[in-house]
Amino acid sequence: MTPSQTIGPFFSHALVPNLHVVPEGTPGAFWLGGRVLDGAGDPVPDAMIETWQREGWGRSLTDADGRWGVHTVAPEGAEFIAVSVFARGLLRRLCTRIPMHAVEFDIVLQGDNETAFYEF
Amino acid sequence: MMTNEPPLYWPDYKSTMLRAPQLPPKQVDPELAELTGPVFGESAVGPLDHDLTRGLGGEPIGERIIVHGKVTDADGRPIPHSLIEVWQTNSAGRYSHDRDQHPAPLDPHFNGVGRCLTDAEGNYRFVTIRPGAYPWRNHHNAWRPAHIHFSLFGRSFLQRMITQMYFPGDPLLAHDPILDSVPEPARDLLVAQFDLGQTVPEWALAFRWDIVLRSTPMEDPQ
Repeated sequence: MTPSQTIGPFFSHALVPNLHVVPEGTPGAFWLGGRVLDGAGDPVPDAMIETWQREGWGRSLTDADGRWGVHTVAPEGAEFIAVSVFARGLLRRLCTRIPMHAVEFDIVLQGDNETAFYEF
Repeated sequence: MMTNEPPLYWPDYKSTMLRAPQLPPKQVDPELAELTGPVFGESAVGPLDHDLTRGLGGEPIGERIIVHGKVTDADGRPIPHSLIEVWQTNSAGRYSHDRDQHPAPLDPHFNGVGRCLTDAEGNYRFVTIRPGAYPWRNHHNAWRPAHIHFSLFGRSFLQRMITQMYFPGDPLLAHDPILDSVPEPARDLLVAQFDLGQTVPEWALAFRWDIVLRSTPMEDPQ
């Protein structure tokens, strides 16, 4: 299989965000988001978060404060939203799962409050 | 399962040190959401999106090349109609990105961004300009070998991958901690091959780079 490599620091001009998993006005829709933080507790301003659920996919690039967010609905028939994390300094993708009722979800890459990451 | 993959903690690439998780990942069986993925229709890609040398009002400077190949899964099945996004520097080694401060010229006719869908047999093809090497501050006198970033969706969340394609014979390949993070036998999988057969006379050199994504369990064979 082809190995992964980092997304690097210079991708925001190339990878177009897709903030609306569902359109504005969708019943039950809300903004799901949070921050991406490194092992020193500092924001990660060059990360890309992608979400996937049967209702659609989302893509958000973190801002200077490490914030990301997508407009979505709670997943139907699933306990979680599947998430990919890419960033400068990540040699391969990290995968996590956002519980279906979460609204705020920080992704802590390293340290005491490290996010649970999954491999399949 | 992940023997070809680079580790997350790789001190030679300094940015990994505060970003690599320290806990081992939880090994789980993928659930339905992870066995499916977004499907992109033809409308996701414009007719010129695969040609990075067009659309900006003139010919970019540099060596015109064709980059093509086939995307399959680990069982050799083609991955059709899946989105590929690429981005790269211009021929001088500079990205069309606000924060790239490398003092090399920008090219008003090249932004280094492309997209395409694989065809029914998993084939893709881009026309572009050969990218340049550029310095970075990872260590003293650090230079990235010329490369093209590839973002692949595959057909399921499991197959989602981002990687980089390199060029054969580049002397910088032996000095790059990012490529070096890949276990030795697999590094060659990231290096394209010169393809005389697909080179177009009087027009452009061709490079072939095939991509293998992991298989998705339970997916119907093609």
